[in-house]
Amino acid sequence: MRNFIKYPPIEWRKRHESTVPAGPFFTGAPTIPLYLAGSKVCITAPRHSPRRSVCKQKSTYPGYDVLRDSPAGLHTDLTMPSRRWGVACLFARRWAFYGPWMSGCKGELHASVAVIGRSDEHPLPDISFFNPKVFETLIMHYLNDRYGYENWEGHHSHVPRYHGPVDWKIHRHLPVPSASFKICGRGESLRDLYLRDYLFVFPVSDQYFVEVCFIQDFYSRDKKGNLAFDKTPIQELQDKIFRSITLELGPEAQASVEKVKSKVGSLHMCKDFAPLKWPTNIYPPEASGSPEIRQALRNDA
Amino acid sequence: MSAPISSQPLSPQNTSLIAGQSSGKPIRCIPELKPVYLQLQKAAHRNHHWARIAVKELNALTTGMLGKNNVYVRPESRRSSGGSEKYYVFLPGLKATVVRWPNDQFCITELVLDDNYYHTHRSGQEQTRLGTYRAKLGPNNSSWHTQYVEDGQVSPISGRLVTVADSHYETANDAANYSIAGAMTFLGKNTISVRIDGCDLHFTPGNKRLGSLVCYDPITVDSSRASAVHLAATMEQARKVRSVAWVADFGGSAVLTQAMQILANKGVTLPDHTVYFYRPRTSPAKALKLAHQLKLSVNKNFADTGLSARGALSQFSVAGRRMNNKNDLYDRNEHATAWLKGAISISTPIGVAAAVVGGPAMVMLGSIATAIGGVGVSYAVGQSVAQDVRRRFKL
Repeated sequence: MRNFIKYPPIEWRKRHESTVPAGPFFTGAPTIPLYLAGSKVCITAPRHSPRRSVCKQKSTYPGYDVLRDSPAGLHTDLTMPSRRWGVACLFARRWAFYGPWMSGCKGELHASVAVIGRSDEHPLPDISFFNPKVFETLIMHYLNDRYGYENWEGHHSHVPRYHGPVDWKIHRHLPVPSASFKICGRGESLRDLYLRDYLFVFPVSDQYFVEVCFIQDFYSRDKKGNLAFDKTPIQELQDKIFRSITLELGPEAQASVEKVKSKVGSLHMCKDFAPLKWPTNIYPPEASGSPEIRQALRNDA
Repeated sequence: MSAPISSQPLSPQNTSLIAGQSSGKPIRCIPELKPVYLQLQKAAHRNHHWARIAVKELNALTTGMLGKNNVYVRPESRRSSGGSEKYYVFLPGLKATVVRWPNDQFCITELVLDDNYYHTHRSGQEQTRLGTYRAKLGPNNSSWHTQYVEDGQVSPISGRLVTVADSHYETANDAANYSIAGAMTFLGKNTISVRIDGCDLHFTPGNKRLGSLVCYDPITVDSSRASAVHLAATMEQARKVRSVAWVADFGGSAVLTQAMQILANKGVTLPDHTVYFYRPRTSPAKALKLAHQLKLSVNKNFADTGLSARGALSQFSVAGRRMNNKNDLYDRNEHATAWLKGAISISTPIGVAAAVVGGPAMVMLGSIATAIGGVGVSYAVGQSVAQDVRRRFKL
């Protein structure tokens, strides 16, 4: 627990001055196990403490395996117009960071874990997400569908809303190919970038992958629009939660990993991933439609 | 960007004409402001949304729109000497001071522009700008995300929900997370369209909440005037879209009522649209009168005033007006239900207080309160039984 006398969740004297806010302590935070088709993903995170109580947390019942126990499979994510992906959110929490002596909420960290697969209408059989080359192509299509179609409507429909992935980084601490990157929001020119989503992706089975998403919201800015406080506590908590993520593969997943390993050799993804060409209404992705993607993925594999 | 008022007295000789050359009342401005105004005009030609509104509304002064009900032009409270009157014009991102000379000409003496007036998409500003935002469920469907809309229009989707948020939120995301949940109560249990397509959000930056029990008349709220001009422009542009629902959340009621007043002054009607007030912090009665003027299609329930006794009274004060309007769905039956519900909401606290305080007089008062509550319950039960019987015998 943080020092509730100095950092109470009250906003009686709101100030936009340079301060160091405090959020929940990470030590002693519970570890949440998430079961996915026999594999186990663990994430350690403090209790849900949002700024607005209307923001509810999302959780999974202990021991519930969303891929095995849900009879209807994943729900198609309808917020993406392409409707090619099924998404189930397993975990979502927010943590508010308060300034000292009731000077108000300075920022919030939002973390969520979701398992994502192709929707029932657009399946991709005969491929394994554990294959790093296949996984790269897949992530590319996912990002095109999730972010690529958004643009500044009207006269500026050629300007994308997002720019990414940037800061592409591969990680070796999980037994599967994994990568983290950022998606930035952008204005008219590429100089106007601001961080929006920090994503971490890795496959958990032949047909599903996990997306961990961190979003930082800042509520205190000075008159010029610059941040008026020190955001390191928010970043620190994010890093700690990120480092706590572990994956234990189940027997089936382990077998497919071994199979892919014997075929491809290394399980690492490429070291660089150039930002994608968005918006997709101007730059249509080459392989669109289900059969072509399948062919492209086969060629890649 | 502001210019001081020059020391010598202003006259048609040392000011330049900017509007009303051919017809209407001429509008002048002091020479220091001429470049600012020209830049504004240039931005308006380039389709900058704020500048377009500003130039249009400043030019509209030529028609002499200085009535008592005008939302964005307010006279200075104390009269200045010399026969000339001073007015403040509130517009999105801009505040102008206009002097009316005795010969009925206008002169702009001060223009204060927002620091980031022309930068529509600036990274730091994107979430704090006054205007319309598209709100969507973010990644993993766990919270709301907003995107600034440059031209301020709502999505041309039939049945679109537009939430008018209170001020006092730092970013549009925060406003969306808090207000949309309230606005969705208007849709009742069927919220699927909002969860799939998202909705639109009208965001007003500011440090304080709008309206209160002290400041209950929406026309007297100052900090929402600029926002109301923007919302009125959005509403006017959305006229062609069918069945748009404008839902004000808490203090957003001040913005929405003022925007309705602006449209009523212009003579615009919105017969395809509807409005709803969720826990309004300003008078819903005033808004209802305007809704009838704008020919809005009002639902049976027009506002959710919660436990606020003043809100309930305000709603009852216009019940007669609603029943007399044939296009309003509100009828005798609904009125009876509302009356009894209102009686319960007021009588229950009295009953509880009576029980706490005790004393013979209080007990009697409490029993009266309980009796009113009992009538309400029996009325509701009777209604549902009657409906059942009617259904069964196909009456």
